Amino acid sequence: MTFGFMGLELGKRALQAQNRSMEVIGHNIANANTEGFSRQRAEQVTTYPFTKPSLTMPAGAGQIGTGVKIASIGRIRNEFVDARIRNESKGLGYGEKLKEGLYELELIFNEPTEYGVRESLDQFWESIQELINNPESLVVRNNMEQRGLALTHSINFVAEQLLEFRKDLDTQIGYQVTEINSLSQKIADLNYQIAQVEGTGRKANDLEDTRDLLLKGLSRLADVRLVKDERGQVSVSLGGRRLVQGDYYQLIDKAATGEGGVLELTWSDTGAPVIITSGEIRGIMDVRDETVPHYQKGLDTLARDLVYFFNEQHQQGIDLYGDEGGEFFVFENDMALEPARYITVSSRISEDPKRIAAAHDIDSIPGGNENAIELANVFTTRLMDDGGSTFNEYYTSFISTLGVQRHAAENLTENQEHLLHQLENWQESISGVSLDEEMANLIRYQHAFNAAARLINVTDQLLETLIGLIR
Amino acid sequence: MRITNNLIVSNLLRDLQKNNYLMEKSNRRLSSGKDFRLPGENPVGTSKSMLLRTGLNTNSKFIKNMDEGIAWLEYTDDALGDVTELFIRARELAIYGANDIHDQTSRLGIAEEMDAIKNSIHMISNSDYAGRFIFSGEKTDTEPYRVDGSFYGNDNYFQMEIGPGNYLEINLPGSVVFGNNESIVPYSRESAISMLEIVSRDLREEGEIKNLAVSANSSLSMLNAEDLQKGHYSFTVTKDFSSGTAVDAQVIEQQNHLLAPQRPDSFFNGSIGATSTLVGGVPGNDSPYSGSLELEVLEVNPAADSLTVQMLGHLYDQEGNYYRVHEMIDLDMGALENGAIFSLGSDSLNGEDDFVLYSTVDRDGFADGEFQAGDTVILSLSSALSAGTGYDKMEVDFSTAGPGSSTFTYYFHSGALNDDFADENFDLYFQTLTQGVGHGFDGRLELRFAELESGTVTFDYEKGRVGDRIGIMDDFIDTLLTTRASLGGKVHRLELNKNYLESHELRLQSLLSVNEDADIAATILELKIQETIHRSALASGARIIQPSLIDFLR
Repeated sequence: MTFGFMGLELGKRALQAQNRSMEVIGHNIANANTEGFSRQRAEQVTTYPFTKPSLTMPAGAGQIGTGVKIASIGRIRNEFVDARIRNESKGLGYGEKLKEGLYELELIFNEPTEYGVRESLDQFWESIQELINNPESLVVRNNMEQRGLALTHSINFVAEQLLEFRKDLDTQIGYQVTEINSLSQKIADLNYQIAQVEGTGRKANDLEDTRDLLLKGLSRLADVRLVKDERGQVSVSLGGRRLVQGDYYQLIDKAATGEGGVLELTWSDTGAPVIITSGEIRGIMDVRDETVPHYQKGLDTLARDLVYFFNEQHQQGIDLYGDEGGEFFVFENDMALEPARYITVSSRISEDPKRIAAAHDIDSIPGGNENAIELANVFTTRLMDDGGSTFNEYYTSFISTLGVQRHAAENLTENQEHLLHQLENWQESISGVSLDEEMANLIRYQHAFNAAARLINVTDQLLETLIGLIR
Repeated sequence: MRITNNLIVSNLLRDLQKNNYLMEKSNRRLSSGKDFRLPGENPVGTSKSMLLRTGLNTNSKFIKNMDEGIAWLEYTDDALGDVTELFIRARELAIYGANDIHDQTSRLGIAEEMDAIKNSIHMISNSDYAGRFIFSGEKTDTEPYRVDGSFYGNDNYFQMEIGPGNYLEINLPGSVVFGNNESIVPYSRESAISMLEIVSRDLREEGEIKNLAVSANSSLSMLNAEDLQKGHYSFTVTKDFSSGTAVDAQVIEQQNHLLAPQRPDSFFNGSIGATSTLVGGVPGNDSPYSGSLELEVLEVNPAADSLTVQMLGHLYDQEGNYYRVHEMIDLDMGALENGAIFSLGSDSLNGEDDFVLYSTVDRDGFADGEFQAGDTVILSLSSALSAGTGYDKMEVDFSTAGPGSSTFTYYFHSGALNDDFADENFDLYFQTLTQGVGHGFDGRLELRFAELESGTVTFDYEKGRVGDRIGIMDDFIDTLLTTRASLGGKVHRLELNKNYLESHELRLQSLLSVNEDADIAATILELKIQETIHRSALASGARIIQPSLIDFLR
């Protein structure tokens, strides 16, 4: 039989193993609320058994267990779920930015309320009806001029807001790029550290958790692809180019060289454009480059057609002085590049509302209203879209399209969110720290620790007894 | 599945968040009363709401338009109602006054009441609705009727939109009911005001009778202007054939009331300055124009050496075409001499067929006081042809085959004689047809009885034809009644339309409400359910997240 110090050694190993396990539990409990933390588990394995030689029995007592040791401390995590999460994150990032952008547009257009462009159109039409009823009244003419101004102001206001919004989006893209660059750098750093640790055969659990968290953040921003090598390093590529490889990372530059002075993203080494097809950045870019310009264009069309058709009719009339009606609406800039921003009531009219041409010929001043009737008809006749819609209908369909788009974006985002939530729950269910479980394990290890201590105690007593015999 | 504490907490929080979101949504529905707030919450509903709101705005504007239209029409109708009553009274007075049993004093009394009626009608004809003259046509800033009965509005209607693409004429040009003094045919449509003034004057003059006799082969001339004062006359020409030999019997036929005007030299001129003859003219040899013009200096502008002259009058050409002249001429006195200042006809100023008005004063500036605003001259002119306008306006043609007598009665109205011609040895000239300040025709009455070899023609004229006016008053009253009937029809139409639009408004409102208003009962119920869920989530959450194994380890 083996006797003597082996029991002490075995007990010591047990104490160390249980102690280490309890430390791991302590680490788990401490990080129960740490984002991205995966619970860790100390893997207890038996130490290599000792084969006792036997003189009388070749088989002898066989192998004697030599105790326990911690083979490794691993983190419990499903990397497949991580990949799924990253994949869905970019979709969610894209959808959310689209949704936010459309929501912002809804706020800018401020419909359906009694304060938007539609109401201004209605009120302007009402003021023309007043002109029909009282073409000679200066009060009515002033009112019409003011309503005209209110209409152009409301269009100007929306146009300005759209422009502002587009600039804000551009700024946001700038921040996002900075974020990507900083993430790449951190990931590259972690790659280096992890390779150092894992090269020695150990596991860099906490560093990997941190890196996973960063990668998740990165994939929310853009559609990155990951490859993990045998040394535990992660290569990240974006649009076919390496963003991070090992401890090397590639920066992305931004410069206001795009159409209309917007930011364009390029690789800092080659200057080639960065191709991003999903994620938050793509979402913002789509809002910036497609959604907002679409509504700007629509509003411009409304302003341009309003000026064209209304002026055309107004010029056919005769004002209170017997002169031909000039332009009612004008553009403040001669180029008329951004009609919605620059549409206003001509100074000729606003300085002297008698210039509003209500009559159709010189003999009908001041009571003649035939041109005023035609002016009112401009608003009820389907002039826009090649005779497809009135100004009001055009604007309404415009807003309704916006609504449909946001509704769709919201549904998409909601689905995506739900999916992501499920995946995160899944991961949490695998990696999350359960305090009850940890407590139970703690008790388990505590008891094992107690028992091992008792073993040492007993061994000690045995040795004492033995030594006492000699005395 | 392994459930961790964080899973429980985060799921609980997520669910609570969702509950809160739903409750907030329900609460917002309840507090705002609206089912949705942004287009994305209900895109179809949004566009529906926007269109419905525009529909509501439009509808309520049309209703307001109709209210205004009804007020305007009713105001017009009230005015016409008053006028109708005044006319009925005027008619009674005319019948009364036409009766020969009244003496001059009582006729004067009637005439005074007639004047009062005329003034009332004049006042009503100039009624305004919120500063717009309702009987002026499109000239709503101009009083339509002057005191002399001339009309300064126009005959145009204007419309109001009372429904989508639905227009209604809202005004009534005064000329339709009050006349406008411009008609070719006198009596038929001079303005009510002129007519009443004439009636009033006729009443004062009624009953004076003058006789003139004319012998054979002579023409009747009334050389003394006093013989034909303003007023209404009837000539009765009776030819007695009993003792004579009938040659060609003749009938006097009246083509038109424009009496054949004739002046031998066809030259006309007049002065509107204190000293100078300012204007005049020579019609071309065959100038077809006849008529009269009044020129009045409106404005004297010594600084600019210019005069503004208003020209008002009437001209006929030989075809009987009528021209109304209503021109303002700025005469530059410093620049031209003896030039043509106005022409009618072809574009050539000196064409023979044209009517040309010349300035005959040397226009190299003018002295102080030479011209005064208000200086007036009336120019009368006739065509060079002996038949005046070249269109026999009056033929005298007795046509009985045997002995007997034939009577022809001719009515005409005379204005004041132009003093220019009073002393001259011309045939009789007078203004005729229309009353007033000379905006009438000038004409001459010449009766020649060349074939009358024996016997006498008695030529009587009688002033005052009040009775003749009764028929005209009836015409006016008829017009007023039919006009009022059509106004009533319009008001009725507006009211029906308004009722329709008001019920339409209700419909639109209920559609809008169905479309965007929150269903309060359903929302409260939903909120109740959400609240229950939320409460149970809170309760169960509170129970499961609190205890942990630690609590039970001693």
